[in-house]
Amino acid sequence: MILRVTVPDVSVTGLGMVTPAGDGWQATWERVCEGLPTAALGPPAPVAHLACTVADFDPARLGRARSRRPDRCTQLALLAAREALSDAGLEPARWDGTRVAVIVGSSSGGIGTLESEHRALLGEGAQEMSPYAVPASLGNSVSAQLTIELGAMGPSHTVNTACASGATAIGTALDLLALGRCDIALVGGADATITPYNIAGFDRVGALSHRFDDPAGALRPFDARRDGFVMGEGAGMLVLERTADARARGARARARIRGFGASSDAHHVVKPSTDGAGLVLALREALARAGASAQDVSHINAHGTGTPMGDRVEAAALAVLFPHRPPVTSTKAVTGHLMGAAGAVEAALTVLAVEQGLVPPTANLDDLDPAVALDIPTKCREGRLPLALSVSTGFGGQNAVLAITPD
Amino acid sequence: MSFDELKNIMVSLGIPESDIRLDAAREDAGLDSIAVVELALVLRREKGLVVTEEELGAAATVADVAALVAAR
Repeated sequence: MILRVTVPDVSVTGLGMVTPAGDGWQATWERVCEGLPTAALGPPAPVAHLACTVADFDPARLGRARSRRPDRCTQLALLAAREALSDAGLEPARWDGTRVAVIVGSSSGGIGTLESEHRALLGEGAQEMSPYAVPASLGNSVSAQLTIELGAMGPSHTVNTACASGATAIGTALDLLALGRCDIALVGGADATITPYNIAGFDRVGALSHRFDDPAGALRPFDARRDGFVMGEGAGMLVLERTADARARGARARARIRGFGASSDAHHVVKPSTDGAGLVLALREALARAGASAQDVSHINAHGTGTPMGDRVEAAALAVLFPHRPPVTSTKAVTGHLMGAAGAVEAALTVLAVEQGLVPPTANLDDLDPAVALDIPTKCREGRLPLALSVSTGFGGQNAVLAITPD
Repeated sequence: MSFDELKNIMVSLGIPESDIRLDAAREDAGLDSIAVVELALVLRREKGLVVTEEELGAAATVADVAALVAAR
């Protein structure tokens, strides 16, 4: 039996971001449009590395108790969530919390807490571990803490598709809204993975840039001299509502999310499949659910992490599927790779792109890789964007594509 | 350590200030078994005061807790 689900129109009524590019969506968007990278040299331990950090982040902004217990990842998510709800004109004190879902993507959840508490355990013993070590580091902690903070009593999940998590969270929420399981979905992604274990681990995979003499130029998506990504941290949150509901309460819609495609490469734990077949599946599904065809696409926010192989495979898939060469961008050159938050932050940036009719540039693209047959603007480009895609892929070959249109 | 200092720490653990009265029973003031573990850890790590979880857990009231930390 085939279950037919009518996909309703879903509007984006609020945005929130806390990223290396800025505190808030406006500051992040402006820096992304200026094309100013945020990467800098990190401390030498455990290995020489570059990082894009959220500077000047004061957890005390969350209140004293919340500055002590939750992991940094959850703290970043809380700040972004508050901004998104304020942007949507929603007040948790006044909503029906039983109809609010919280779906957040995170690749590593509270890994910073896990690492520091594990060091305490091995060093001084169990009595030095916080009783909140486990709840703060569990994979579910990000979304669970948000529900507690906001009184959201509907379904809540932390979803994990590695670096596609933020996009998968949005796609999951579309289904919940379609099925009527909630009226408001607070969705997004958050990660704070600039930790010794992650930095050393990703370096062992060979995924990180070693351009230590030029930090700002290190993350160079689709450039001929790219050599890996720069780890970032941050959170991006969006408020989603069925368009009819948003209109009924007089909310301003920034854009609509028309489709979502998810797929798996079924190929390798780290490497993408060389033919890009898995990614193409997700791209086609997102278009089909949006009722659109490939030639309708007017802008693509690519995954574009700046790894030699990842960019090559993604570029080849996009070039075959979109021969009309819509402008492609990778905003990671500015923000760094925000891991589980990347898909949500980039979806939010794509919302702003279609709302404002502005394709943000790809920084550090000095010499386009000759194998990349894409149109990649290096300056902001104005133009109407009737349909844009935000593309995310994760380790393990998990792909997620969102189709976004102006309101 | 004074009662006010103790109160500040308890507030930082998420306990509403209005619940923290000297005559309140320990658990009514938010110092349940998890909070006791956390309070002992915070006192040791941040204030250098060694009060065991068992001692705190045996305290009946906030006044008893305050007396324990005042004595260290």
